[in-house]
Amino acid sequence: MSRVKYTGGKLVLDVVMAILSLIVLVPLLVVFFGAFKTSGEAIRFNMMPPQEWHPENFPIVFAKAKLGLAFWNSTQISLVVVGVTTILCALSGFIIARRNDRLSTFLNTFFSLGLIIPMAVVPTILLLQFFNIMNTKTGLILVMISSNISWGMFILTNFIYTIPREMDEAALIDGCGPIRLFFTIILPMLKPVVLSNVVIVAMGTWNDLQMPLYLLNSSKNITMPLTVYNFKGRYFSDWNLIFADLVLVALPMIVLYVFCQKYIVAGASAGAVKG
Amino acid sequence: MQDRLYPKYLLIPAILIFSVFFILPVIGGVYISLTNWDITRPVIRFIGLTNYQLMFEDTDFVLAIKNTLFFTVAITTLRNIFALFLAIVLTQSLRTTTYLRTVFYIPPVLSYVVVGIMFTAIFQMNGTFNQILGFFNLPDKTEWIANPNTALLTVIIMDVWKWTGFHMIIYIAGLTAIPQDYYEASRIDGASFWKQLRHIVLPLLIPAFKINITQSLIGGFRVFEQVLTLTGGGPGHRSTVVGMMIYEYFGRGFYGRSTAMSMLLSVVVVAVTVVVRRYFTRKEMTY
Repeated sequence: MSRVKYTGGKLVLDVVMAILSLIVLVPLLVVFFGAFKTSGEAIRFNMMPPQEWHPENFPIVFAKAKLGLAFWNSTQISLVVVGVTTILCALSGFIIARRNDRLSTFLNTFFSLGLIIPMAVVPTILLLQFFNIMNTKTGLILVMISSNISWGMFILTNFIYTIPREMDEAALIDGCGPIRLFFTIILPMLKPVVLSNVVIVAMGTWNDLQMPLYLLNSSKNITMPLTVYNFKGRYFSDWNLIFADLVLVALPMIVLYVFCQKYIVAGASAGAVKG
Repeated sequence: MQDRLYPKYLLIPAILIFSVFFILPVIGGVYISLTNWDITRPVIRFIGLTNYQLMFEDTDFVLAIKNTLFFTVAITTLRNIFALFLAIVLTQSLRTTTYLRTVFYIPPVLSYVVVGIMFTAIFQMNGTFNQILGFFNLPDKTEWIANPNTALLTVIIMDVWKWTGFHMIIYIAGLTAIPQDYYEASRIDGASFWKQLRHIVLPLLIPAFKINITQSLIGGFRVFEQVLTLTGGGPGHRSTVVGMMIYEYFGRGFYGRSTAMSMLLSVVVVAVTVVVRRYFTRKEMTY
C-alpha cells in the first residue's frame, strides 16, 4: 500500500483502470458527439464521432428552448444563493465556533437537520404564497439558501475551530469590533474553505431540478435544467437537439469543475478524516 | 469578552432564514398531514392519522416503499464498494492517477436532468447499452426502461454511475490521512495486503465510512430526480419511489396525503441517520 517503484503489476492496473474509465466516458461521448449529429444519425445512439459536424444544432436549440432567458435566470439565482449562503455561513460559523458554548452545540445540531430532512413541499408553497413570492425567483432563492445553509455551516464551522484565537484578542485591544474583526481578519483566512463552499453551492443550485419544478411555475422564470426537461417532452425525436441542450446545461459546471477542481475536492473531503 | 467579540445578534440572519424557510414548513407539514386538505375541498378538516392509514392501503405506495428500501440498500452497497475499490487503486501512485481522479469526478458535477436523459438514450432498444451487449454477442437485449423487471435497475445503475466518484474522493482523503509508518511497521511484521486492509485501513477509515454511508442512505431515501428523469416511475408504477409518489399526489391536488408521505419519509430518514451515526461514532478509534 505504500509508495514503491513502478512495477509490472502497476502497469496492468494502469491498463485495467484506463479501460474502466470508459464506463464514465462512453455515455458522455454519446451525448457530446450526438450534439453535433443530424437527427437521423443521433438517434442511432452510438459513441462514434459524427460523419459530418453540425455545430448549428447549438444556435437552433438556443432559440427553440429559450436558453438565453434560462441562462440568465439560472445565473442570477446561483449568484445570489451562493453569495448570501456563503456570507451567512461564514459569519454564523465564526460566532458558533468561537463561542463554543451550549448555544453552539445546540445550533450545530439545529443546522445539521437540513442535511437530513427532505424539504416539506406543500407547506413551503403555502409559506411562499403567504409572502406573495410563490412562482418568483425571490421565493426560490430564499428556499434554496435555507436548504444550502446546513452544508456550508458544517464545513465552515469545523474550519474556524482550527484557526487560533490570538489574533481576535489583539484585534480587541486595537479597538476592533466584531464586524471588522470578521471581515478584515477572519474572512481572508477562510479563503480555501469559502471557495470550496462557493463551488459546491453553485453546482447544487445550478443543477437542481426539484425545487424549480415545485416552486417556479411560469415560463418567464425557467431555469437551465427545466429547459431540458420541457424540451425533451416537446422534441422527443430530435435527439441531436436534446443532446445539444444537455451539453449547454452541463458546460458551465464542467468549466467550473476544471478550474476549481482543487476546491471541490477539498470541500467534498471535509470531514472524511475527522467526522 | 465572549459577548463583546462574538455577539449573538450576528447569528440572527442565518437562524431566521433557516427557521422560516426550512424548519417552519416541516412543522407546518405535521399539521397539514393530519388534515383532509385537497384541491377540491373548500373546507379543511382535521382528520387525525387517516392519511397515514390510507397510505398503507394504497398498493402503489406500498410498492414505492419497497422500491425505495431496495434502491437505498442497493446504491449504498454498490456506491461504497466501488468507491472504496477505486480509492485504494488510486492511492497506489499509478501513472494514470490524475487522469482517473479527474474522469471519475465528472459525473457528480452534472445535473440529474443531464444524467437522466443521457441514460434514457443509453438504455433505448437501439441504445448504446444494447449495442455493447450485441458487440460481445450477449443475447439479453431488452427495452431496459420500459421493461417492468429492469426499470428500477436502470435507475440504480444511473445513480451508482453518478455518485461513486464523490464517495471515492472521500475515501481517498481518508486513506491519505493514514500515516505511512503504519504500513511500513506492519510490513516488517510480515503483514500481507489483506491483513493490512483488515487491521489498519478499514479501522482507520471509520470516519470516511460514517460520512459515505450516511450520505448514501440519506440520498437513497430521498431519491426523486433520478426516477423522474429516467423512468418517471414507470412502467405503471413499477419503478416508483416515495419521492415520486409525493410529487404525483401533489400534482393531483391531494395536499394532505402528499404531505403525510413526506412526513413519514422525514421520520424514517432521521431515525436511520441517527442510528447509523451512533453506530459509527462508537466504532471510531485511533491508534
